[in-house]
Amino acid sequence: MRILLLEDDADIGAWTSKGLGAAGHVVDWIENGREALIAASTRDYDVLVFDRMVPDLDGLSALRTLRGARINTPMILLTALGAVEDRVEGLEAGADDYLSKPFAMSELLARITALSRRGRGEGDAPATKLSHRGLELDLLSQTCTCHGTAVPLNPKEFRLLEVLMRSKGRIQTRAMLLERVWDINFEPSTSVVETHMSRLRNKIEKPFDAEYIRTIRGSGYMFID
Amino acid sequence: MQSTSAPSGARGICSLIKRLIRMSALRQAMALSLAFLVLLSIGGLVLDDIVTEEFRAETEADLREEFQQISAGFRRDGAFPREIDTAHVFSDRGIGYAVLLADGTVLGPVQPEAFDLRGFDILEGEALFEPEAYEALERIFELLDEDDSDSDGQPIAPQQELFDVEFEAEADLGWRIYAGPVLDGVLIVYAPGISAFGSDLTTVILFFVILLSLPAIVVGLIFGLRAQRRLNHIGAGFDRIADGDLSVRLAPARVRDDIDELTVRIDGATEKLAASIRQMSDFSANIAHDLRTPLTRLRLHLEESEQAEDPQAHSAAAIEQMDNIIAIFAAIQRIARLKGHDRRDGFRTFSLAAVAVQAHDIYEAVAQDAGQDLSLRVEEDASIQGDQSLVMQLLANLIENAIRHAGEGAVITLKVVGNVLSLSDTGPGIPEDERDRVLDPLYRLDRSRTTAGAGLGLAMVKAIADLHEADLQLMFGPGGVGLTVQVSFPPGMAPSKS
Repeated sequence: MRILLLEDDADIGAWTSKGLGAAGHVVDWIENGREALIAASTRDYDVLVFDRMVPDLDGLSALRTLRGARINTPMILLTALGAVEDRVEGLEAGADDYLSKPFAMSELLARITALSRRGRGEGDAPATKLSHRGLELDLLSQTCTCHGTAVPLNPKEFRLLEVLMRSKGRIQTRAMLLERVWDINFEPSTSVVETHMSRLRNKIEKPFDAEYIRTIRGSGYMFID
Repeated sequence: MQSTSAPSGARGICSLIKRLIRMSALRQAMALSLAFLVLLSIGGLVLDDIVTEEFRAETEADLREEFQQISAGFRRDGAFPREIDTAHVFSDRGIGYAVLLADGTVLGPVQPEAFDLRGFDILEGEALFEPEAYEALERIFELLDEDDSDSDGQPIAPQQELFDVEFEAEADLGWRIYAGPVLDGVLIVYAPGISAFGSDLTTVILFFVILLSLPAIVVGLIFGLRAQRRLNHIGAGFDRIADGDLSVRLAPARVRDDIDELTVRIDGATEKLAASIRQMSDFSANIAHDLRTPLTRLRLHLEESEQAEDPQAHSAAAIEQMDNIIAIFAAIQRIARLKGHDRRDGFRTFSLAAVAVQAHDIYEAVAQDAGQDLSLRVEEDASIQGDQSLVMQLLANLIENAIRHAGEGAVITLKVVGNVLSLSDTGPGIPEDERDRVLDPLYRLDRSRTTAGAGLGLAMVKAIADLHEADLQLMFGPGGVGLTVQVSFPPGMAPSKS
C-alpha cells in the first residue's frame, strides 16, 4: 500500500516509516504540514497517517482542508498521550481512525490494514450472513450456528465474533476490539477483552474441537482465514 | 546633596499628585461632585430663565397697568400737566414715565434712581439719561412719529408698543419701556429690567457651586486616603502571596463593605491555592514513588537482555513495564485535562441506566472470573447531561476498583436510582479518615500499595464527577460493610413532555 506519513519528529518518523516499510508498504515521509497537504492532494495514496502537532500546518487543519476539497483518502490521526477530547475533535474533522502516541507498531499496522479495506468498501458489505468453515452468523436474527448446531451467544459475544469474522485474516488489536465491540476508548486495567474472548472461544471452539481465533502475542486476535 | 534635594522635592510633589489622581475613591468623589455641580449649574440657569421670564411678564403687566392709569388721568384732565409730578406716579416697582408732546417737548423722563441721587426732582431730557440712552429713547419716539404720518397722509394713532432699551446708567440697568399715544402726545412708561437682578442670580449660583465643591473635594480626599490605605494593605498581602507565603489572610474580623468582601474572597482563593499546592506536592511525591517500581523493573530487564539467552522475553517484559509507565502518564494527563478543560459544550443528554447496562455487560464476566458477583439494579432511569464516554469511564473505574480490591467472593452491586449512581461492594472498604484523600491522584491506601494499579482510578472518577457537577460520596456499604461510592448527577432534563 502507498502510505503518506506526516511526522516531524525524526526518530519517530524514521521508526514508523521503517516499520511500515518492513510490513510491505511504500511510505512517503514528510515532516511539514503544508507539503503533506500538497502531496496528499496531488498524489494517490491508500492511507494517510498524520501527526496532529507538526510545524507550518498542523495535521488537523490539513485534514480539514483535504476533506473540504473532497479528498477522502482514509486517514489515521496521531495525537499526544491522553488527549481525550482530541479524539472527538479528530473524528469530527473527518479522520477515520485515531491513535495516541506512543503506540505499538503492531497497533498502527492493524489499523492501517483495517482502514484500507474499509476505504475500498470491503468488510462493510451489507451482508446478512457471515460464514466460514462451518461457523455461521445470521446478522438478522442475531444467531450463531456451528456445523448446524446452535451456539447461544450473548449480544456482546455475538458482536465480538462478528467484528472478528468481518476482518478475517487480519489482526484486531485489543484497543480496536474495545472500541468496536464495547464502544470504549480507554484502556481498562482489568482483562476485559481476554475474559470475553475466552468465553467466546469456549463456546465456538471447545465443543467442536476447532480453532477459529488465533491469539497474536503482543498484538491482538485474528480470525483465521 | 543640596542640589539634588530641590528636584527630588519637586518630583515628590509630582508623584504625590500622581498618586492622588490615581486614588479611585478620590476620583469617584470628584466625579460625583463635578456631576453634582454641573447639575446645580444647569438647574441655576433654568431657574434664572424662569425667573427672568416671570419678572418680565410681571413688569409688562405693571407697565400696561401704569400706562392705563396715567393715560386715563391725562384724558380726564384733557391736557398734560406742564410739570409731571413724579411723587404721584412713582411706585415701589421703580416705574417712571415721560411724555413726548406733539411739538417735540419732552416732559420727564424721570428715572427712579434719580430720586435716590437728587431727591424727587423733575428732570427733563438729557438731564437724566446718558446721551446713548437718550438717543435710544429718541429713536423710539421717532418710530412712533413715522407711524404717525403714514404714506397715504392719514394720521394713524401710534401703536402701543413694548421696547427693550439698554441703558448704561450708574446702576448699569436695562430698561423696559411701554409707549402709546395719549391726547396729542406720546406717553412713555418704563421700569428697570431683570438684568438688574439677573446678574446677581448668576453670581449667587457661581458662589454656591464653588462653596460646595470645596467640601466635596476634601471629603473625596479623606475617603480616597482611607481606601488607599486598605488597598495598600491588600496589595502588600498579595505581594507576600506572590512570594509564596500562602498563610496570609487579609479579611478583617468584621466584614463591613465590598472591599472587605473582596478580601474574604481573596482569602478563600489563597486557601484553595494552598490546598492544591499541598495536593500537588503530594502528587509529585506519589508519582516518584509509583514510577520507581516499573522503572526499576524496566532497567533490570534492559540490563539483562544484553547477556540473557532469551533477550526477546526480556524486551517483551521491558515493553510491558514501559506500558505501565505510559498508562500512568496517560491517566495523569487525562485527569489534568479534565480538570483544566471546560468540555461541557460537548455534553449530550443520555440515559444513565443505559451506561450502567453497558458497564454491567462488560464487567460481569470479568467479575465472575475473579470469583465475584456483579449485579445491576435499575430502580428508576434518568436522563442526564454529560459526556457519555466519560461517564462510562467513571463507572468502569469504579467497577475495576471494586473487582481489584474487594477480594474473592465479594458481592458488587451497581445501582441506578434516578440520577444517582451507586456501586457497593462487600470488600474491606476505606477507613473514614482516608476517604477524602483516596480521591487525590496517586493516593493509595497502605494495604493496596502491593496490588496492581496506579492509584489514579478514583482521582479520575473525581475529576469526571466534578466536570459533570456531580456529588461524589464514599460511605460504608449496606449494613456497614465494605464500600459504597455514590455519584449524584445534577437533575438532568425532565423526561420530555411531548
